[in-house]
Parts: sequence; structure tokens; C-alpha cells
Amino acid sequence: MSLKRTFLTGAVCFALFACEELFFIPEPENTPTGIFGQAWVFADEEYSFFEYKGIDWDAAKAVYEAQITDDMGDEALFQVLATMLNQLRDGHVNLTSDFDRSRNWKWYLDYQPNYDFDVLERYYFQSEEQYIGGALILFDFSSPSGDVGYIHYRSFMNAVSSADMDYVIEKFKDHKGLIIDLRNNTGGIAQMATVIGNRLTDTRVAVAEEQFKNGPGHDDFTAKATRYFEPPVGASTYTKPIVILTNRRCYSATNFFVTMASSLDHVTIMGDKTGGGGGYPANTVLTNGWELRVSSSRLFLVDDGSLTEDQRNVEDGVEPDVSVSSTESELATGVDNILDTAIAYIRGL
Amino acid sequence: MKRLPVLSLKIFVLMIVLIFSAAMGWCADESSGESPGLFERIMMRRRARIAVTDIYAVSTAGFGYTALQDTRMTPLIYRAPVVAANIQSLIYRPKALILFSIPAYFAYPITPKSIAGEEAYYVMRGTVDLAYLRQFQRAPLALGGGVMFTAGARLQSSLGNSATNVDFIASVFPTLRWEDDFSLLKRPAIWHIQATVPIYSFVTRLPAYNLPMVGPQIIWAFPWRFYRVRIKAGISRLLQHSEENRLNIEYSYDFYGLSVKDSTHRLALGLHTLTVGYAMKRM
Repeated sequence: MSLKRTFLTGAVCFALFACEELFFIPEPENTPTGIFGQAWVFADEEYSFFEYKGIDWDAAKAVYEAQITDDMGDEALFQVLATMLNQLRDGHVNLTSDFDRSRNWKWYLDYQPNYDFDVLERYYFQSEEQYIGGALILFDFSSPSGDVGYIHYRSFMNAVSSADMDYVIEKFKDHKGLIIDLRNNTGGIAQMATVIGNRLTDTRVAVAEEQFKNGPGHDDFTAKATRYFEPPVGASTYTKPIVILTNRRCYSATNFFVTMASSLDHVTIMGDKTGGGGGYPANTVLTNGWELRVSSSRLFLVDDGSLTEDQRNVEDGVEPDVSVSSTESELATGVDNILDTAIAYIRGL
Repeated sequence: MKRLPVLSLKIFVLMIVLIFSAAMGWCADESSGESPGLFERIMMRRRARIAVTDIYAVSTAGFGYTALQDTRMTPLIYRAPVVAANIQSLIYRPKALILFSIPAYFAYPITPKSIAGEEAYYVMRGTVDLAYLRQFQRAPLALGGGVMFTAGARLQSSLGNSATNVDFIASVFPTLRWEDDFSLLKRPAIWHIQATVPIYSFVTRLPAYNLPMVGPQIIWAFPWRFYRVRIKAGISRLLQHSEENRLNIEYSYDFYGLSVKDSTHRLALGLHTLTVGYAMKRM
């Protein structure tokens, strides 16, 4: 075979088989109509709380699609999409462009604030607190009376290590009880819920049920899988009374942790109802580069037979065992009523 | 209750005697020197086969182009340059060819827009490929089959919980290779074209839907559910001052995709690579 023929054969091969894009689904058009359709379909196929919240997503489409025109600007399109997505009433639903981020923060904005870190710093810690591993603030309320340990975990975005937990447990092992303050912790790394929770029990305990979207239908979910807290082999654990402080700004991973920890007998949830956020968000990128995420799983309290499935669904938050709040006037005078109540609760046990 | 058949003692002893006799006979053959024993015969056959076998160790590197769409992550089509490497072993026997190759690819598609500042998208794929081909009499065509294992990963950091998509594929395939001699710049050369289409594949995709916690999707797939085509065309030319070692140039096209029947998501990926390398004849 001549050289010319060889190269000709190669060129024919390339031409014949450089056609993979024939097998691709056409990208949605980068027009307001295309972007709208893409966002609506993504939410339709991935969102996990349509039934629970009684949302008619087809009706939402009819309302907001009518507002889309192909000559509208980016900001107008963003506004229509954001308004439509807000019908989902979900803090985990966000549309992000390079000029704005749509959000639903009603889960805490509709409620009075009842926490002020400044009060803790100025009136309680007074520079005596310890910072552990960048994630935890520790304080010892043992003086002048009582034996109360205190951990403030301000954000699940900061990882807690096994060594951090070793230190905390060792420090407070002889105390009467422990306060875990999660107020205003809006979530982060969900795995941290298990890292901490595994050290709060000395036996394997079922703490929640979870299921994930596995198809485009609103009812397409995996079977519920039980989640457990399980102490790591050889690791120390804390099984004395624990009070977890919560408020409306406890969201997402924090809500996951509170859900799971509430199953433990020695744990008392105190403060305000958590803000919710019971689903892991799934993400995509739209054709114009905007990013969209929606909740795509469901988390439930353990089924003890006393609650319906919807009541076990923690998308809208977890109710505290002891409901307490701090008023603005109390906070203004340096009084954190939720924390004071928790300290008194443990001392009274 | 049924009783299992049991060998009688006589038959058992007879079998032992027969096996012992046969073993003694072989040993006697070897020690007498009159005719080769079993092990010698095996070694002779092996030496004879080695004498007519050419083994090439080939290592190549190159570049290419990929276009892909994984709607589980985004509906977008990504196109990107590719860097590629391939390690091969080619064993030529008088009428057969055994191919073993490990190609690997890496691509870095440019995402459409940077919003969060974390827009890295990595596409990686590695394959282990083993094929046995039998040559048709006289014709420069060889037909055979083999197995291949492919692992691919696509990581797009800005997609949060949906950032990772991994697939593992094991396939059984028939393959056809057309290979012949020619002269290239006054040196002997070989050209080849090879086509492979899996007939049955085991496909694992993680995640099964949109979040990694949902677990893997497993599909036992005929070609209409998981389709893949691999075409290779290349030239291997003796080096200027060597009678054994060769310069290899190979173009490779690899396309695979999953039918949307299995989910609402489309995975399709086409990959073109051109690699250049050195084929060293093993002594």
C-alpha cells in the first residue's frame, strides 16, 4: 500500500468516526425560553419535597413561563426564575448568576432573633474560652458551682477531627453534663454530624432514616435507609447528659445533626425549632452558566410509631424538647436565657 | 436418604498404581536420554514457539480531542484537548497476535463561565485491554476477541454534591484487525487498522441518579444499551539504524455512550488521540 493510500485511509477513518456529537442530546438553547425550560425541568426531576409541601409545579410553570420573552434581559430572567424557585420554600434552592444569588431565607427571617455571639464573648466567656482545631469553642461553666461543660460549634463548614473529640471528651468526662451550642450554625459538611454523633453513644443506635431521588418522577425515591450513630472502636465516648441548643438559624447539616442526636436518650434539644433543610442539594449548570441547586433527598426522624411520615420529615425543622427563647431586651443586658436555662437544667439533674 | 457413590478400595488402589506407573515411566524417559521427557518436551515446544514469536513493548504518548456530554451533571456539551499515554505489548506468532494495552487519557474542558471561582472540570479515563487475534490464511486480516476494563471519572468542582461521576465498564468484544507490510521512506513498515465493538458489557455508574449517596447503577448491557466503538489505525516503521526496533504512530478513536432508556440521563463521550512512541523488540 502506498503512503498516499495509507494517509487517505486514515483521513477517511477520522471523517467517519469524528461524529460523536450526533449521539448527544442537543443543548438547551441559550435563550430565556431555553434557560427557563431547563431550570424548570431540573427542579421537576430532582426536587424532593413536592408532595410534602403540596406544590403544584406544573401550575408554577404555567404562571411563570408566561412571563418569559426572548428579548428580556438577564436580570429580568433571573428575577422570574428566582420567584418561581421561591415557590419551593426551600433554603437549599439557589440560582446563582454572576450578579445575584436567589435565596429563600424565610426559615429564619420570619422569626425573632434570640442569639448574640457578642453576649457570649463579653458576658460569659470573658476571654477564658478555648478554641479547638478551628471549629470548636470550649468553655467550662464549673465555676463557681456546678459541673457544666460547653462546646460552641459555629459552623459545620469547619471540620471536627477525631482528635478534637478526644480532647473534648477527656476535658469534660468528669462533668455533670455537656452543652453543645449549635445556634446560628447554618450547616456545612454533613459528614460532621456523624463524626460528632458517633462519639455521643457507646452502642450502635438508629438515629434517622433517609432516602434519595432516583428518578424523574416526584415519587421516585430509594427505599428508606436507616442511619446510625456507632462508636468508633477504641474511641472514648460521652454518654452523660447533653443539652443541644438550637434556634431558627440551625439549618442543613446542623438540622441533620439535631435530627439524629434527638434519638439519643441522654440528649435534650433546647431552644427554638431548627430552621430545617432536610435534603442534600443536587447541582447543575444551565446553558448560560448560571448554577442551580435543589434539595434532592429526604431525612426523617426514626419511626417510633408515634408520628406520621410527614411529621417525621425534618425539612421544616426539628422541634425542641424544651422550648426556650431569649428576648432582645435580655440579650441587650447581657443575658442569654437559652444558655442560662441549659446550665440550670444540667445542674438540676 | 441418598448415599453418595463411594469408590471401592480395589479401584482406588488400581488408580494409585496406574498414576505411579505413569510417573515412573516419564521419569525413566527423562533419565534414559533416549527420548525427551515431559518437561523437556514442554520446554522444547516453548523454545520453538519463542523462536517464531516477536514481542514488542510499545510505549507511546500523544494528544487528542474529546467531546462529551453527561446530562447527569449538566446538559452542556464539553469539548477539550486531551493528553494521552499508552503502554502496549504486542506478541506476534506465526498465525496469531496477542495485544495487551493500557491507554490512559486526561482532559480539562473549559467550563462556560466562572461564577463561584471553582470551575475546574477534570475528565480521566483508563483502560486495560487484552485481545487475541487469529490470522486468516494468507489474507492480512485477523479476527479475534478479548476483554477490556475501563474506568472513567468526571469531576466538576462547582457542582457541589453532584460534582463526581464515575463509571466502570468491563466488556467482552470481538475485534478485527487488518495489518500488512509496506515500505515507508525506504524502510520496512507495517500499517494496521483495528475495530472493536463490545457485545456485552457490565457497566457501573456512580451515582445512580444525582447524589453519590444514592449508590451505584449497575447495568448488564448489550450494544443497544451501552454502545462503544473503538477504531485504531497506525503505522509502525523500522527505525533508521535498527533491524528490530520501530517507531509507532497510531490514531485512535473511542466512542461510548449509554442509552437514555436506562435513565433520563445521557452519557456520551468521543475521544480522538494521536500517539507517537517507540516499539522495542524484546529479546
